[in-house]
Amino acid sequence: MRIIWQEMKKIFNPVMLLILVLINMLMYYIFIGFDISVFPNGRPATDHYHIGIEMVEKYGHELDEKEFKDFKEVLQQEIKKADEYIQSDKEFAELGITTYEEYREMKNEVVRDPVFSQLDSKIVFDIGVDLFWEIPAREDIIEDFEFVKERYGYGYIEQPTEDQERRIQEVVNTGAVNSIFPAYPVEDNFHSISKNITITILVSVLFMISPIFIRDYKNNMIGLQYTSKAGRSLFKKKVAAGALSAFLITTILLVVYYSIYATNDIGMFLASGINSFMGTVYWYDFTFLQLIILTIGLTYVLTLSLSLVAIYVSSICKNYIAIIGFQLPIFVLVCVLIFNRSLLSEAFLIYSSQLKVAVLYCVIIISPIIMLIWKKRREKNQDILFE
Amino acid sequence: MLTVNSVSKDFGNFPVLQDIQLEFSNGVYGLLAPNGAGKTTLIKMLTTLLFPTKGEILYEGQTIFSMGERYRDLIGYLPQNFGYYKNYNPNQYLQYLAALKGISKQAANEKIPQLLKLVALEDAIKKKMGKFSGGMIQRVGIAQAMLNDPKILILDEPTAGLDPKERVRFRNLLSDLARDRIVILSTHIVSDVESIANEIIMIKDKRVLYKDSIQSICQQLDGKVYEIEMDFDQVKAFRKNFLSLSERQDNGRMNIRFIAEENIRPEWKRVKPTLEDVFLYQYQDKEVEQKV
Ligand SMILES: Nc1ncnc2c1ncn2[C@@H]1O[C@H](COP(=O)(O)OP(=O)(O)OP(=O)(O)O)[C@@H](O)[C@H]1O
Ligand SMILES: [Mg+2]
Repeated sequence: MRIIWQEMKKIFNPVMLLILVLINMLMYYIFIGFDISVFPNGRPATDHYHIGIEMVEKYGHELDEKEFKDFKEVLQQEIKKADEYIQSDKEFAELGITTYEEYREMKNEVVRDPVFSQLDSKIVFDIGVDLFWEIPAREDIIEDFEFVKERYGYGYIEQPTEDQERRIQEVVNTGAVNSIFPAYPVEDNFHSISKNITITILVSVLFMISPIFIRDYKNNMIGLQYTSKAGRSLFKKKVAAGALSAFLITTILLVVYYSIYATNDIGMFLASGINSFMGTVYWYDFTFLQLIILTIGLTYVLTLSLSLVAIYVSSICKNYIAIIGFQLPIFVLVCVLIFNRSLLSEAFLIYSSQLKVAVLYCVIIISPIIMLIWKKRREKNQDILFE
Repeated sequence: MLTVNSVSKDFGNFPVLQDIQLEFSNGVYGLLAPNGAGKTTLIKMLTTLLFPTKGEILYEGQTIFSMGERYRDLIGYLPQNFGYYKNYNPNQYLQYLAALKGISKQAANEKIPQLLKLVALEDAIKKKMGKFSGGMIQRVGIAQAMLNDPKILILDEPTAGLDPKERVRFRNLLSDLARDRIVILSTHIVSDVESIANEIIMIKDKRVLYKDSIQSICQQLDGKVYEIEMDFDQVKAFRKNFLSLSERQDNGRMNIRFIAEENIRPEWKRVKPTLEDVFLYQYQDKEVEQKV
């Protein structure tokens, strides 16, 4: 244990820690910060978000038929308010528009009256009258709920397989689909930020762990280490120290970044099911909180796996360039897999093959273990050459 | 008792050592051979870094590889090019190695100041090793080899980088440490071992040439080492016929120490052969050898 602790002290050397902080600040400003500072990212995202909050407060995490009627009632009241707004506005009067219904018709014309377009853009974008944003948002939500049987879940799949078909029917029939969860923007925001957090943590862990063996090699420590009592068993201890350090770095950064994420005020949706009529279908009935926890778990799996690979690479390379040469392609591959929705929360969406996800994670978990066992066995009966 | 039993070592198809037979009991052994003779290779086998290609190494009758950490616990080793972390001070460095050597924290806390005092580094205990001179690093290296109070102390060119004053200090230090243990000291500098080694081991052409006391080794040159004074212009011609061991100027003339095995002339001054003479004689360039 003392050896592991000593090895960890070498990993967490002050200069490396300082650079780690700088890397994280940089990564935060480039990747993560955006999803914090601009959430819920403009309109109508903001309106969907606020309506979502209003719905959870009024109806809880599920919408039943009675509550749906009430929700439609609220829409009617808003339309009334919009009518009043239009009637009190001189410019609408000049165009001969007296109700929201008439406004909507004008808006839907293929060839719009240029004067109307100007007025519309003034009301909607320049002044940003809430009603003119909220009404369409509410209408979208109502439409999604009404047509759940017809089109829910098919948005992204052209030719659903039998399994996909069955899963969609299941979500609809069990009523899981009634969950109130403004996937746009809450879920989208989570997918985006969780990916960036994971990549930032991967970079941090790889940066800290990669020198683990080569630091000793470059500093000519091998001769002393392998002739000490610990001898060739030091390999195991260093692997343990590396894995433990990776776990520690991951935990600290997860706490930091998810605390920052918490400022996005999504707390009221944590208990909502993710298979909502307002969003997409997943293969599993998770709540939003469960999805977050699962994503955090997967982040641990990825960082631990990649750090074990980094430990292996560090133990076979003789210089830093070689380490980068090995690690960079692996890291890029993982990033590609994360961004093409194969590894994190999006991997459980209906259009993602669960077999593929399972195979990927098997490879991710097993390959570093094989590498390290192979290296350990080889070292046991081999000359230690270091000069 | 440490026994090297018919050990050979090849690197690939390249033999470095052949059929080495050695026995060590308490005392100081000087492993004396020129660069590239295989000193470090032998030492790396004694410290379990390298496996012999043939033969075995035994400690008290057991092969050192089967003893594993029990054997490594007995050795203290100063590698020829040993390393350190620039941002560590000697205390941190020795604490790290103490952990690797399985020395308890408490024992290490006691031992480290003692050892640093022994190598006269107690004032530098808080100084980063990146700022140390070569001699200071070497002394920390000696301290680290002594951490576990080893029964077998193996030092690979320990005096490299030490100035003459430090060399003398080191020799005195080593004589103190040499009681009750096997000390193996490799060097290609004769004076390093001349005064302290109980036995000298010389390696030549991959094999052990001598393993004997300095006195016995020198005996073979008894009556063959001479000194003579001559003018500068005669030196060149003289070198063609004899193996010159050392030459120095003296009052405008050259004083030459050389080896002659026959046709001894009465004007030559016979001198007592030294280890240095044997070393130079044994490792002379091939072309000169033929002249003798
Ligand atoms: N890992 C290796 N692979 C191939 N050849 C090696 C290896 N290590 C050493 N050698 C060769 O073995 C021979 C002996 O080397 P070694 O380092 O043991 O000599 P040495 O007596 O310690 O020399 P020096 O006084 O320069 O330290 C040299 O010819 C060297 O090139
Ligand atoms: Mg050597």
